[in-house]
Formats: sequence, structure tokens, C-alpha cells
Amino acid sequence: MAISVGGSHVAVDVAHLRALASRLDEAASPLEEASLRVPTYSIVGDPHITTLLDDLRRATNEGLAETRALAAALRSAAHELEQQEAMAARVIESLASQLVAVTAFCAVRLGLVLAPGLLHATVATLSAWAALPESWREGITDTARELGHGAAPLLSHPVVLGAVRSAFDLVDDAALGALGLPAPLVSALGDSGLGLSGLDSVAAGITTLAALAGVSGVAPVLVHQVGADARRGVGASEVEAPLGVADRVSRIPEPATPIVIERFERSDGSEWFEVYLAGTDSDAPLGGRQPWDGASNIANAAGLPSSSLQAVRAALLAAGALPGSDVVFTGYSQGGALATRLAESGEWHTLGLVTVGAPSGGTPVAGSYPAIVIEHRDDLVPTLGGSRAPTRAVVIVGEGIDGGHPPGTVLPAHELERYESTAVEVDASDHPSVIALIDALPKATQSGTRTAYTAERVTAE
Amino acid sequence: MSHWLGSAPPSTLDADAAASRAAELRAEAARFDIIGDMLARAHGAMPNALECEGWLGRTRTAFDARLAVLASETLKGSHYAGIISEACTTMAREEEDRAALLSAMGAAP
Repeated sequence: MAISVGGSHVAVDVAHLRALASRLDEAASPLEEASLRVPTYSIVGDPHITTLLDDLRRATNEGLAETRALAAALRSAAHELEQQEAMAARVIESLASQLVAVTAFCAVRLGLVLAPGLLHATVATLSAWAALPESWREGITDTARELGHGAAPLLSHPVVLGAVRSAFDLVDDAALGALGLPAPLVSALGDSGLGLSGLDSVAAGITTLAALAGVSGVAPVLVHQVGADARRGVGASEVEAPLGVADRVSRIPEPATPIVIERFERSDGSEWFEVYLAGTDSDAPLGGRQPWDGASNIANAAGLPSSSLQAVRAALLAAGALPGSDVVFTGYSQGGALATRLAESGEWHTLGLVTVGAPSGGTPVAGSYPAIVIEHRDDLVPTLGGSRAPTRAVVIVGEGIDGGHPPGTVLPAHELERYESTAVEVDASDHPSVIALIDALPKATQSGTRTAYTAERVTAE
Repeated sequence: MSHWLGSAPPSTLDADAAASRAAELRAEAARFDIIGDMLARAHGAMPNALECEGWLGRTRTAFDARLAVLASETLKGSHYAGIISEACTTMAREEEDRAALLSAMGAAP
């Protein structure tokens, strides 16, 4: 399990160096106290004791200075490593951006030339398919399906996932290149340059086009409290406060009731809310009544007020959370991306953030609350958020699948159960940054209330 | 019945001064005990080496060497504090014995 503080690619080393610097700080504290207590002269007249006292004073003072110097040097080295890594990434992305822009430019022009021929070939292929006997078509379809299953393990291969992450970083450059912008200008506008274009701008374009086609990821929603009785107003059940990361991850709901909100009171009467958000409903039709769908995913990537985001806001209001209320957000997949956006929105006072398998690389954590981002190295979904921008969150990368790709599964490393297992490992971690974050999450001594919500997109039908 | 045979009997002031000196030495011993504990705590908190994968070889060796020197010096400091504390305790015990003797002699008729 790799733990990264700041989301850098050289995270393991950087986190380790910072942890060592913290240990030296811990050592400096008693050294400083000792140096203040060492007297300047000895009340014992013995010259041997006077010499020992001088040695002790020197060891304490110089030890303190050296400890502080080493801690500072380690922090400086960690910072330098991050800077070098970021610079190398920018150079590589700039070159790749220009290459992709040129390729897209050529491909579009070539496509325009070849379009009549391609159209003719497509029509011919479809006609030939229709002319085939039913049994032949079924056989070909089955073979294609088997080939697809055979390719499924590739979706969990780290090299393929790295390529996907890079491809998502460059998709905006390809779009600008296809529009005919010169390659150097594309590079200057993109992530490696001014940052004016990016995955979010492409996603915004897709959302707009989808809306024109009648599929809206930003349509309004209705939120219903599960089990709510209009007369008695019930629907909440009693629940103990969550302990640590694994307990929070285990409370993430299924997409059918995608929002769960718990309310706890502290001994001084103040309250805080724990919000748990589900991942995408893979069976939901695009732009249908279920707002936890692909259309909301694209709207989220575009930074737009997706239907699922609106639903969480509405549920929080219904649960009694006011602007500025204390809230801890926990989410899986799309729920994790939502949790990150809401935690960063400033609408509530965020007390903590826990995400698992979320495509949230483009939404860095800038707030000073405890934030833990858990990903699996072999999970495709987090790569869809592109490369991770520098973040204050502690990023933990674990292994989703051990011992090969389980048969009959497409994205096993993305399964919530596997993330629950990783979360247990996180709780057991002895990494100082992780321990500090878990300790910083709120705790309650008395039980609270739990309420689940369903959400329904208001469609044009 | 005992009698003082010297030129003049020791005063209770001498006994008090010895007791006060003994208390001072005890306090000094306690102070060095605390200093020793602090240095031992600092030594315990220190990493032995960077133990960092992928870290530049020679730089890491230099860092490790400095960490080793630092840990060794801190441990030595703790040892020095222990010796000084022990010396203070021994002297305090001598002063206490002296104070007791002087007090006994001063109290004799």
C-alpha cells in the first residue's frame, strides 16, 4: 500500500521523507527542553564533572541544532522531489499535447477525405451482416463476447490504466487539434500551459451536446426520505457514530438509495453530519430517472451542478444541515467525486473527507480538513479523472486484486467490497500521516440518527 | 554520657549548612536525571536511517551518517547526565552523613 501526502507521483519517497522529518521534530522537542535545563556551571567543584558538564552542554546544543537542520533538509528534499516530478510531468504532457494535436488535426482532415469511402464500406458491411443466416450471426456475436471477456483483465492492468489516465489528460488537446488550432497553441492552452482547456472543458462540451440530444446530466431532482411517514415524520433510525475509515466505507449505500445522512450530537450539544454517497448505478439508462448515472458523471467531470450533486444538497437541507454546518463526506466512485466537490464547495464546514475509487483527480483537496483518498492501482475508474492535481489529501494506493483477474468480472478492482478491505488496512496503518488524519475525524460517545434518501431526476417525459 | 573533647563544640549552624548543601546536591542530581531522561527520549524518537527506497545513494549515505552521529551524541549526552547525577547523589549522601554527625555532636551536652 503506497501512501502519498500531496498526491505526488513520487509519493512514497516524499511521504517517507516527511514522516522522518516529523520524527526528528519529535526528537527535537525533548532535546530543546534538555538544553534549557543544562546549567552553565556545576555546583560540584570536581574538574572532571565540570568537563563532563561542558561535553553534555555541547552534545545537547549541537544535537538540537543538527536535529532541526536534518528535519529541514528532509523537508526541503521532499519539496524538491515534488517540484522535479511536477516539472517533468509538465514537459512530457506539453510534448504529448503537441503530438496529439497534430495527429488529431491530420486525422480529421484525412477523415474528411476518406469519409465517402468509409460511409460506403459501412453500408456494405451492414448489408452483408443482415444477409448472414441467424445462426452465423449468433456465433459471431458469441465469439466477440468471449473475446471481450478475454480482454477484461486488460482493464485492470496498471500499464493500460496509466495510458488511460494520460489519454484523458490529452483528450482536450486532441479536440483542439481536431478543430485546427496549431499544436504549440494547443500546448499553451492545455494543462501543461495556461490550463485554460482540460478534461473539464471537454466534459462540459459533451454535456452540452448531450443536452441538445435530450440527455441531461444537470436536470433537477426530487429527493425522498426512505420510510418517511407524512403524518408521523419517521424514517430515521438510531445508529452508533462511525469509527475510523473502514467503518465509514462500510456505510456507503447502494445506488438504489444513494444518499445516507447520519446526525450526531457532541457533549456540548453541537451537532455534525456524516454523509455517505453511493457509486454510479451501472444499470441506469443515460439521462433517465436515476440521477446516479453516466450523464451525472460527465456533468460532474465538467464541474457542472449534476443531478446527483443537486440531490445531495437537497438531502442535506432535508436532514437539517444548514450552510456552515459541520459535515464529514464519504463516497464511492461517483459518490466520491461528489463528496470531494461538496467538501471543497465551502457551503458547509467540512470536518473530513473519505473517498474510495473516485474519479476525482481533477478536483484537488485544498481545504485544511482531514482528507483520505483511497484508490486501487488496478482500478480503471480513478484514472478517468485524469492525472491527480497537487492535493492536500493523503492519497493511499492499494492493490485491488491479488492473484489474477477473477473470471466473469469486468472491473473487479473497483468493487466496493474490495475497497472495504483496503480501508481496513488503512485503519491498521502505522503511517504517522494516516494516524493523524484518522484521529482528527470527529467521534461521538452517544448514538445518533440515520436517514436514507432516494433521488429521482425530473425528466422531460 | 558523652563529652565534647575538642577546642569548641560544632554549632547547629554547621549541621544546617551541610543539610542544605545535601538538599542542593539532591536537587542537582534530580535535574540531571531529568536531562538524562529527555536525551534518552530524544534518542528513542530518532530514526536510525532514512530507510527510503529510491532515494539518491550517496546523499542517503551522507544523511544516514549524520543521523548515526546525532543519535550517538545524544546517547553520550544522556550517559554524561547520568554520571553527573550519580556524582551529585554520592556527594549529597556524604553531606547528609556529615549533617547527621554534626547534628548529633551539636545536640550532645
